[in-house]
Amino acid sequence: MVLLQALSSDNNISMVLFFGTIGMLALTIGLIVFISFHQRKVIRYQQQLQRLEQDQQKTLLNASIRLQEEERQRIAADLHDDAGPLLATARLYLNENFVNLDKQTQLQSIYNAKQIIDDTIQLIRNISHSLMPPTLKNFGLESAVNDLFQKISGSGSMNASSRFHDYRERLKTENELIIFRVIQELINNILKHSNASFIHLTQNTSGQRFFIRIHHDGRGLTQADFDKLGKSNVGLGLKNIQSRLKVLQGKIFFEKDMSQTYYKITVELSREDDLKATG
Amino acid sequence: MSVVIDILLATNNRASSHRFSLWLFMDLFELTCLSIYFYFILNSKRQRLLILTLYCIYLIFFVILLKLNSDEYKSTSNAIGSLMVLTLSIYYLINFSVKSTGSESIMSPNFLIVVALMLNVSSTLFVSLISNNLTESELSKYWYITNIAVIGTNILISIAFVMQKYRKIPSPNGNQNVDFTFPDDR
Repeated sequence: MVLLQALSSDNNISMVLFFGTIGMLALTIGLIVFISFHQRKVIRYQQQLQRLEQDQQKTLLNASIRLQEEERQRIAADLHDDAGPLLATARLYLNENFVNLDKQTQLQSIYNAKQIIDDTIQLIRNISHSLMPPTLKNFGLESAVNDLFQKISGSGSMNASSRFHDYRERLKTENELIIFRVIQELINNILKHSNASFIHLTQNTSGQRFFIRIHHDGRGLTQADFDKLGKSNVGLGLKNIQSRLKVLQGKIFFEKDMSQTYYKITVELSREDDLKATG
Repeated sequence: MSVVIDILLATNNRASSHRFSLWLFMDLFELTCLSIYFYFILNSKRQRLLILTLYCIYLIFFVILLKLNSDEYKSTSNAIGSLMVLTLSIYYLINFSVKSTGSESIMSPNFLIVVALMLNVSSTLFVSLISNNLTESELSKYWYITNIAVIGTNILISIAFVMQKYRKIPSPNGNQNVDFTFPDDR
């Protein structure tokens, strides 16, 4: 109606047309400029996120490589410092003069060499077990964790217990190994830093999600501490946990429990990958 | 199509006497092309449903205007078409800004075409709205706005087509030149 009244004279038509068109154009140009700037801002933000993610990946990769190197050095040291001298000693018992010795001394040398070779076999078995625990391979995660906790409890310094509520179907072997390594690393940290008197591990599932929860009564980490350590150069073990969980698309949460007395660590994993493999 | 209609109007008396109906059909053709264009650049089902709904509404108005059978040019269909194009353009731009991933830049041909359409429609919308109330001589006085808008739009669309032709598809990574067949690489 306003428009029609405005059309009463030629001058008014020109005015309405001029202001209407200019107004519409201004609005359109304004919208286009706004969207252009907004898009630039979004792209800049996405690039920043990508950079942060790349940095995080790089830190995790470096941590993983360093840990791998440390592991190799440990194995090399075990082989060089323990297995090497043992085998050299066994060789000494069975040297060139062996045939010239009297029968009694020969038997003693053979016995000593056998003892040393047995020790070497045990040592190599221990190294092998530390790389891939046979209980885990043969009987699964539940047995391996129970085994580990029995050893801790057996030492008498700490009470360690575990309970698996829903573990009827085993996960893929490689996934079980990753979870076991994460648990080992967490337990190792608790033993080293927390001064706890007990550790309790529970396992449960909810739909497609698989949970591992560890409670302890010592000094623990909160999520803020964990995030802070994740960004710094220290906390190699925690970074290793992060990189292992990334493989399983898992998450880890560090917090105090409801009573604010105990610390709890929750590892949450998706079982979809496993179901796909078995299905 | 526009050129064909202009030639037809200039050479054929019968066509010239029905020029307003021909313009109406020209509007329909234009809007159909634009709807198809938006249908292709907007991908989600909801967006496509919106395009179809708006097009159906336009068709209803088109039939009503055609049945009026007036000798005067009814710019209502053009105004409705302009509003529809404006709505779809704004929808595209909002969608563009929300779902922007960086892969589709503001310098992409589609963005430029939509900007050209928006500028055209927003500058000619008021002429379309009031031209129903104008006589033919008054209309010709303000028709230069439409001409300028069309020229500007055509220039922008031409730039968009040139950009499309010389557009570089980004390579996924920088080692395209490595000769993997070199024996030492095996």
